[in-house]
Amino acid sequence: MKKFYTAKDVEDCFSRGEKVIYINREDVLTSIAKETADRRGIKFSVKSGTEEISSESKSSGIRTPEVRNTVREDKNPGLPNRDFAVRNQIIAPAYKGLASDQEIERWRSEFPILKTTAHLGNCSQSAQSIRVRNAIEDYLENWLTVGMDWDSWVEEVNLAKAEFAKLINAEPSEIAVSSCVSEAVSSVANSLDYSGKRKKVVVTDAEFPTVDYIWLANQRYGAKVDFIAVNENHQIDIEEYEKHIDEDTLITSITQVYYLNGFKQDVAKIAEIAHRKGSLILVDAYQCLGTEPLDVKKMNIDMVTSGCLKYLCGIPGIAFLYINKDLVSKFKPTVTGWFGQTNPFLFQTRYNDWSDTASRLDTGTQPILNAYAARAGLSIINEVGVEKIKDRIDMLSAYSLKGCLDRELTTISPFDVSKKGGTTAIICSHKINSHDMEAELRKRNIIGSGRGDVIRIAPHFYSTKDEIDYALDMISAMLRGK
Amino acid sequence: MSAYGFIETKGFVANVEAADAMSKAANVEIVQQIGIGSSYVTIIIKGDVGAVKAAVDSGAEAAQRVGELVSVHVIPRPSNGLLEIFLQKAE
Repeated sequence: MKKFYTAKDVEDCFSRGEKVIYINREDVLTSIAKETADRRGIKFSVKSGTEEISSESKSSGIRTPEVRNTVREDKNPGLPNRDFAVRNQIIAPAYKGLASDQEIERWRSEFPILKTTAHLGNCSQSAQSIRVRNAIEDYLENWLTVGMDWDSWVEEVNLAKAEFAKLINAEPSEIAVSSCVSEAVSSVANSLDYSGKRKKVVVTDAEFPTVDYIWLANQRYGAKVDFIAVNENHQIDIEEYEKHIDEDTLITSITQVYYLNGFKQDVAKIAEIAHRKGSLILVDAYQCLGTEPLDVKKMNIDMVTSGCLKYLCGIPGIAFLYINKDLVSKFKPTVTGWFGQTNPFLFQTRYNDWSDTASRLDTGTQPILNAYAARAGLSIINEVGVEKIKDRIDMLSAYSLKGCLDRELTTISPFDVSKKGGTTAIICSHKINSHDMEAELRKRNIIGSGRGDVIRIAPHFYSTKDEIDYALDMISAMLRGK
Repeated sequence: MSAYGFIETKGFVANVEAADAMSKAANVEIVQQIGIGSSYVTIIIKGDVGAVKAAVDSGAEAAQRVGELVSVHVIPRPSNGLLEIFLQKAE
């Protein structure tokens, strides 16, 4: 939908010290907005980065911005546009090179698709590894040759839980398993009592929407959902949590990383705010777990949930939920099932005998096949080590941002890498939308991920700078209509 | 001669919000609100050019804050009798 830019937008831009407002071709400027922009020395620029609109008003009325179809003159070839660069200075930690090139090369051979494809859609699905494929085949082989084998299958789920626990420094007994994050969050939401004074649920617009939908649905049971909005930079100021979390807040449910642009939150700080005000905290770590250290004990987080198909190298159909062992007994889930009982194989029907461990948040028959894959994927991440992966992701993240600047691509991702996960989100244009961009990239052996107006480039530890350059070159060419 | 300003919204609420913002933002007169069907509503104001431009800017900002803004426009020097024709038809 087109946006109408008014004087307020210009003044907001001016107050942030910015010099350019990036707009879409279909957007409209009011005449007062243009006059204010002229007075403040602020320019409007069409988002593709190759076209600039005139800031000179030819009419005293309101009009659609006039587009000058000229490529911006580059007086410093190879360098980004000055305004753009000043506004978007990249801040990144020093690359330590914890994983050597040889080590990365070895791991790349574990992922066959990397021989032919720049697999940069890891924010949506990681590449298939030989190890995960073998694990899936182990299950199929077992089922084929041994037949029904529930004891070993359930044991495989427990081993997967242990591997997940190891990743976040939890105990295996603090991990529940679900088919997806929606199920895990629903189990938590249905376990809470909204009849007391504390019934507020603080959530954000940065959540992957499924989480918000669950809390909204629980308003039927008394929950009062309070949203924290993302700001114009697609980020959330930590101060917002001080304002929104209060003595009525029952739980604060946040994502660690914003799926859209990779904005990363300081979950330890948010946990401190939540606990200081008496609120529980649930972290959806799906968008970064495996690339970002998450120590639930050190960060004092009550609950963490994540699926496995993104950076954990697994597949859809399984998710894990960590619950601090001191909290487990307080949960009485209505989204439940026989595996939530102390002894599922007792087969009694007259009462609930919930497990004393996090398994009380388990539901029905477990996702066995998916657990084989999840455990194998998790073992890769634990074997490489999250510190090493983060070091490399931060380096590739900074490289992606620089690549955007060099090519004058507009990104809505943070330019401070310490506030960013692996995802770099590049705005598409009227020439090609994100869905078509994703399809076109695939034709060029690049896997990116389109969401809304952006195409997301999300490297994993096995990704290389060359792959990012190749992807950004292709995106740049397509946005310029080549 | 008065300038005319127009704000068209989809839905009534955004239109009322725009009218409120415009009347508070500058010395303008609200001429008429017209429901043009399919939930589209247009509000027309008049005043001197500067006031109308400022009012329309504020109205646009207010309307898109609460609803869907479809179009904004200012006619600084309308032809004699132009608006009367359309306003009569609207009535």
